Amino acid sequence: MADLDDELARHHGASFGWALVCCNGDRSVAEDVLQNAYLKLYDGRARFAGQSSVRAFLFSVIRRTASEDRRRRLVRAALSLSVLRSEGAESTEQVSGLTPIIYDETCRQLNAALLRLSSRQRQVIHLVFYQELTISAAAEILGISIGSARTHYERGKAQLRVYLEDIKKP
Amino acid sequence: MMNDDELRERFRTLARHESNAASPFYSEEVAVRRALERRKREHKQHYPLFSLKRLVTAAALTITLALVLALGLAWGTNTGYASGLVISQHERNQLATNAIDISGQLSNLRTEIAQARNTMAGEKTGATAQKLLISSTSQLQQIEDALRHIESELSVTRTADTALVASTVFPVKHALAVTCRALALSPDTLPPVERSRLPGSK
Repeated sequence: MADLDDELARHHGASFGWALVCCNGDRSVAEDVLQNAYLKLYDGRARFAGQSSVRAFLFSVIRRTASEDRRRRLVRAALSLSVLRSEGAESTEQVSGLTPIIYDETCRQLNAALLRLSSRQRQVIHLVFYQELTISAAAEILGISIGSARTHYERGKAQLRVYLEDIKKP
Repeated sequence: MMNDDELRERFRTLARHESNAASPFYSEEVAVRRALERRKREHKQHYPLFSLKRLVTAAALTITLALVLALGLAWGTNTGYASGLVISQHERNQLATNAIDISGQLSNLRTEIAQARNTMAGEKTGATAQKLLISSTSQLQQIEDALRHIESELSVTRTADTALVASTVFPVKHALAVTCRALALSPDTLPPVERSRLPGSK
């Protein structure tokens, strides 16, 4: 248990960044997903088989937890018919009591460009550039083939450059 | 265009910002969540969705509902529907009584006519009297025909009225019955003797 605590504490910052990407930049959801992922690890619902690095395994758990959370939210939204109400999105932003992350100008530009990429491209780019993992490790975390991961990486990188140039122009 | 190193550098800056903004890692927080989850699971074990208590409650509710519906059905049948039946039966009886009265009056009339014929047949005096007798007899015959017609019509009316009372439940059937009855009583369907008695006929 102490080992798990240490591992989680060591990767906590990186895990939070990855959770943010998996939750499309929603901080409160990312925090929630991260805690649920940790809970899975403590409960033994997610077991490390030693086939990959601890970090890759942790990121996989976070990605799956985020997907489950997104599905659950969608079902809840459909059942409560909140998707029909335009004010639904505004109210969720208001209730989040967390302090916003303060970015400088370059980081804000990068975030804006990243948000224009597709979800898969954003995740691959994040894993390679932000987490400094290899493309094969990224493919393993995302559960896709290396070929697909490479395609997403190349296209995402090209798109990101174009978007960043667009943002720079006044 | 920026190269990969520049991009990487930007991402490192972003990672620094986000790592600083992350809530600190507390294993206690996870432990609290874990305890909550365990409590939730225990609650589910103690109060499962298909517990005996819930099933019994649902069955009791269903039986009560069925009983209430059956009771309502029986009560409705004994009050609304039954009272409707009684009214229609009463109307039918009234119609039958009226028809019996008219039949009685007609039979009396028939008897009187027969008596008149006999009286006239007994008085055979002269050719004029004979002629008068013949004309009276033919008139009596006509009256008898008319009586017969009225009787047959009465019987038809009786059956039609019974059908009419029964058909009032269904408006379309009621309208059809009224129309057919009117058609049956139209002047074209009457025998020539009756037709000649109608106002405006020659």
